[in-house]
Amino acid sequence: MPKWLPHILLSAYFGFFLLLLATLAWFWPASPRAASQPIAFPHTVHAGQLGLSCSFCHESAELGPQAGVPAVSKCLSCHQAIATDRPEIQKLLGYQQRGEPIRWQRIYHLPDFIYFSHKRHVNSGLDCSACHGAVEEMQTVKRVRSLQMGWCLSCHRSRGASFDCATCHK
Amino acid sequence: MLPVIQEQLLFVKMLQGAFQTLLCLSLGYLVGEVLFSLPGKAISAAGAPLFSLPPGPPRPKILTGKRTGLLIALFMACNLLLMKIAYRPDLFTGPFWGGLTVLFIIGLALILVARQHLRGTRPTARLPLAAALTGDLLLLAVCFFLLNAESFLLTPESWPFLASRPLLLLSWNGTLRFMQFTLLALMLTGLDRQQNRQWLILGAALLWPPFQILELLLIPELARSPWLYLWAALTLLTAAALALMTTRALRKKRLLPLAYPLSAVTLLAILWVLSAQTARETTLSGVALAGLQLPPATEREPIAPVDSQPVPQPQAPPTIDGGQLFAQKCSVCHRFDQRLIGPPLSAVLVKYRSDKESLAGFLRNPQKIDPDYPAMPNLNLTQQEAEVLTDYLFDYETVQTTPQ
Repeated sequence: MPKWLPHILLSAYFGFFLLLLATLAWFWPASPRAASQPIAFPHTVHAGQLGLSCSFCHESAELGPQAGVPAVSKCLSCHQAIATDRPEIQKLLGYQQRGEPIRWQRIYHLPDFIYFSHKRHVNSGLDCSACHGAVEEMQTVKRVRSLQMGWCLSCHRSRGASFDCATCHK
Repeated sequence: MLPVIQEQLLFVKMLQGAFQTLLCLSLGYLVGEVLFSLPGKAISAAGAPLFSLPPGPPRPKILTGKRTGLLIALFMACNLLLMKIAYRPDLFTGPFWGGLTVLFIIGLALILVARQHLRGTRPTARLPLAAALTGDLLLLAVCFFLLNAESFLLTPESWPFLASRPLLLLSWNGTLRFMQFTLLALMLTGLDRQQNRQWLILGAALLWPPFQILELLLIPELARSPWLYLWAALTLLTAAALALMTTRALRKKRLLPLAYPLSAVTLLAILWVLSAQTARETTLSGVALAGLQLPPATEREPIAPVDSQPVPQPQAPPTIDGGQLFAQKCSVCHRFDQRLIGPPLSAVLVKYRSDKESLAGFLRNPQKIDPDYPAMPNLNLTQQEAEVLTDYLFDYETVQTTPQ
């Protein structure tokens, strides 16, 4: 066997795996857990310092399947007069003047084949931070749970909720 | 629990990493060496003596005998303690730790006892062989569970459910890390100076890349970060270096000087531990760990009566400063003598002077009364907070209106 053959083979072998690793790193980076939002809304100020409850803005979390984000008018109920000189509030006022809704980037997003009712989960006595983490400490909201089915099922089984397929896949 | 200052935390984690590396190296060597010496002792007496060592070429710096056992136990204890201090998972009940400790000690003891019989050149009786094998397997089992536990630390969202579903402890990522540990053990065994076991190093180095890639693929999604890819690339390069130097030595039918493969394997172990630590750093952030204490709804009574408030109730009422509460929650929208967002409070308080209790009620459940002003948000005040605020407001008003 030529002297250099083992070296070439080994280099090819490890080179292949390094290439595979590079491909993984390029195409499969850490999933976007935090996205950039159109307005830099800090939960640390509103939920943290001011102690506003989650349901003050996210009203429909207790009322229906979708939690949603507040309308521009909710923000304006305070910010019509508060801190109007700040650039982020200026952006907010711009949205109001144009009559345009704010296109928030959704962080907690389940696929369409899953039916998730916020109302049921809130009414079962779960704290918001059980699934969303300590939002009042987040400058930008990021996802802190995997949202995988196994996780949902573990909680359902532990709390005596239904784990029938049709409960969520309907 | 020992208190840990924030500044010490990094040091604690570095220390934990160091102990885990040492543990991996020493335990891996012990496990592998025992396993590979067993067939020789079982079959025949031919071959070089295994443990009686004339002062000759330097052995790996890993001892044999009682001191090894104690050292390994010490590394294990320090590693686990530091892990608990650094991450405070509040997981893993007493039985888990107790069971693991017992198995670990039994495994070490069995091996140490059997080693007496494994010394020398005579073939060994069946009982010591069985003891050594059992001890080895016990140690491997303990490592398997510990590595799965380490991987479980990467999914904090499942921590509350471990008590009711203990099988959640096992994970593919943990299994793969165990496979990587066995590869490291094989590499360490191959460092033996008495016999030419370098093919072991080569084999393990060749097997390392697919396991490394698989481990990366199976890591929990939230634990992924660019640093992991960097550590993985470095481990691949180290494994390549190991394979290359071992091939050369094998072809020349010579033993490598100990320093090179030993340092390569040590580097590999360090990178392996480092990648686990990086993954933990990424996923175990404070914001993620909040909200994990879920009382199972079926087993316990609800802590608070049916209450649509998502905020947890306070346990015992500490003294609340009305002024601080006002500054924190009310002053954003209210002043006493001017309109801000809400009406000037002096005007409001006039209406409530005759009926102070209803003010506390209003504060807890504000209604939109005046069309001229926006709706006052419900700030989820407790009864105590509302009363303290009411007292503060009226005290303030009294102070303001009392002639100086």
